Amino acid sequence: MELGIEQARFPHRADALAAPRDDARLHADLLAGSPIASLNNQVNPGAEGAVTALYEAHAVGLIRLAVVMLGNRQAAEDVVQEAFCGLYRRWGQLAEPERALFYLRASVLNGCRSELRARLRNARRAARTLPGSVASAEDLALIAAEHREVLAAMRRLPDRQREALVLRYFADLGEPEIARSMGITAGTVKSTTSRALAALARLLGEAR
Amino acid sequence: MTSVQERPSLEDRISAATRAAASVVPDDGAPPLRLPAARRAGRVPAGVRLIWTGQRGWHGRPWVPRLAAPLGAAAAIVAVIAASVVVADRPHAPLPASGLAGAPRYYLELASAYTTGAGANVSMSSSDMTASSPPATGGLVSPSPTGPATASSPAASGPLVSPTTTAPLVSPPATGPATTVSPGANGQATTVGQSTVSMGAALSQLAVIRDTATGAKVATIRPQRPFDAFVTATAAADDRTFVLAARDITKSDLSSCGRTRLYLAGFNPASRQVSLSPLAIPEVPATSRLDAIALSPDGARLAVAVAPGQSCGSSGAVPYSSPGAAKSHQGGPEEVSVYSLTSGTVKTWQGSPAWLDGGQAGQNAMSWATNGTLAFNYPGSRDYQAGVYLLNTDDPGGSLLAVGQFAASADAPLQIGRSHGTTAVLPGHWTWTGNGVLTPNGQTVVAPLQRPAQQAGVASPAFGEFSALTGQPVRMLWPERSSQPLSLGLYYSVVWTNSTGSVLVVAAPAARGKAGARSVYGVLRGNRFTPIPGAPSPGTLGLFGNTAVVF
Repeated sequence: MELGIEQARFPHRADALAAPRDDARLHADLLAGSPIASLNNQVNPGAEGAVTALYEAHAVGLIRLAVVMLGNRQAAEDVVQEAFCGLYRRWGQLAEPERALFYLRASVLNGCRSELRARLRNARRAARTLPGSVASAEDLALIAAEHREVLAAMRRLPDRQREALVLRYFADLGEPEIARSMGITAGTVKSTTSRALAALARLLGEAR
Repeated sequence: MTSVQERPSLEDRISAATRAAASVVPDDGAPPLRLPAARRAGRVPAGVRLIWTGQRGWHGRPWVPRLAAPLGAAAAIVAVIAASVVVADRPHAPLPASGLAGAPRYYLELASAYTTGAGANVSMSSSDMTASSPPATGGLVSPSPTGPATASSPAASGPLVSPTTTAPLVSPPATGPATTVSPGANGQATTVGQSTVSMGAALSQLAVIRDTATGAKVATIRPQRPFDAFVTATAAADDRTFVLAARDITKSDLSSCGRTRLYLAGFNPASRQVSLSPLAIPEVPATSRLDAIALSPDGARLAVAVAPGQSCGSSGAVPYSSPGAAKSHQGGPEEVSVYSLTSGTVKTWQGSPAWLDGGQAGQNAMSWATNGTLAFNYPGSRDYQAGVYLLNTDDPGGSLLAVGQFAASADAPLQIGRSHGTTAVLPGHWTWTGNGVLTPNGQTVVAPLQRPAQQAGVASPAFGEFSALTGQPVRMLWPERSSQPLSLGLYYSVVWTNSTGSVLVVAAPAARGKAGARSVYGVLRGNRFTPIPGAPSPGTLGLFGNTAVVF
């Protein structure tokens, strides 16, 4: 029902994180890397295949997610790369491999937060300008002015509000999925998103 | 003939802008994956199994035989019970004259814990509970503590709750009967201490009453079967009377709520005993969502907000900015019912959309003044702005928003450019980051505020007091105390207010430590913040989200 509503309201949207692979194959890959038999410190032989399959299916979508969060493609690729490496290192200890995409998405968000904080520290140290606006000139040139205005306003929001908006309106995730990705409740997703919209409208000078 | 181009909605602008930003990555834009050659030995100790805990990241858990978890949990429960016996025997010092003074002496915490058996828990047997039931006068206390509420509609006369002398539930166990548990699904049971433990531990959520001054646990309340967890609670002004909502979580997940029942708990500080009586208010079915409950300061009235036809994980709060968006919302109305616990009457108001801006399990989505005014947080719609509305509960029921009087806005830009109260406030737009709470004298709405970041990720927290009559800000507390990165794990909320708002209990960031800033519960008096010792972390994720404390 909720999906139906969303599709009716935003029919033009494609799933930005859609997997080009079919779920059955991905699931089979995940099962091949099942951690059940691997409780020691060795990397499961199936881990590389499973993680690679996940990478093929979701890397582009996750890089795009990180680009939106960070405004910089190189940094985004690094964050996603590290997320997959982390998943690979811990594959043998994964309790629920079928939730790997949630782990990855949350890892990417964590990585983005760390990156933004590092920028903030560096900016303070160097007394430079806004840390959230470190987008390359090449990237910015490709974005229309009206979009840049929205993105700049979004970067002035707190991490949690910005993440909620990106997961909702860029990744088209439902509230339960956002909640699991951010580690908060669905109710908090609702209130955070609502307040983020209100704050963003104010920053953009829009009446709501 | 000119055509007027409709401006895209904010949601569409966000979508378009983020997709434009993401378009710098082509479909084949992922670089090759560079996996490490092998995981470094010793990075994760042998026998440790990593589990993912959401935003808190990876955490190691010793990989031990499965039985160790329930047995360990049972041992922990026994330890907690034993500890509470010790605490219960210790005389309580009064609240310190400074810092915590003015805050309630006791508060209630909803905390996750292992219970025993699949869906079962350590609870009182039916015979234990019969002592706490029911008045012969046919009030809101159910005659059968474990059965469904017998009163499908409130009694026309007679009290909803009768003050009964009850047996202790769990704490202090020294004076109460031994706790028992029904066999789990496999029927196996093992006795550990006073508790009978069945195999297969399951998470539950208990209610713990703590001493504000020391953080000591003075009583533990466990849900009655078949309900597994207390999911939200509310308190009267005497800090001894609580109403708790217990849910059958074995049938609850993100898409289904599980049925929920309301209980009245009375805490006797002298005996350290708690009575738990089921209210004869109709259960909230699994097909509906309990959004909030609020007990009036005198404990005589209970407001219950329910979204019929909404599941726990259902959407419905977000996109109201587009024309017609609120109308297209299909979740149905929010129903706010006010029950008189003394006379048994009920009045119901309805409003749309179905969502009370609850956030943390609806905590403080509604609050009471002593004159019978009920304040509720409204998320906003096309026709009504977001903010706090006041409802005269002496009026007949009807339309929530048509009758409700707008009090303070959570949506309009708030420019504060001069000194308010004790603190000079810098100019800037401030936005609400949590629910507004009405002071019991009905004069003021207190809300957590935040100034949007001047730098990305850096925010300025504060608490604002607004006139409930004019909506204008009258005082700012604790602003600009610490401009710091607003990260996950930092929570700002108003938990409790005294009659005038001069003393608050809030969740707010504590001083930065080695691990960075974190939020704690504390007493805010003017601009002085005193952390409450032993209080849980506001960001701790429990079964149903953030740990809730109720004052």
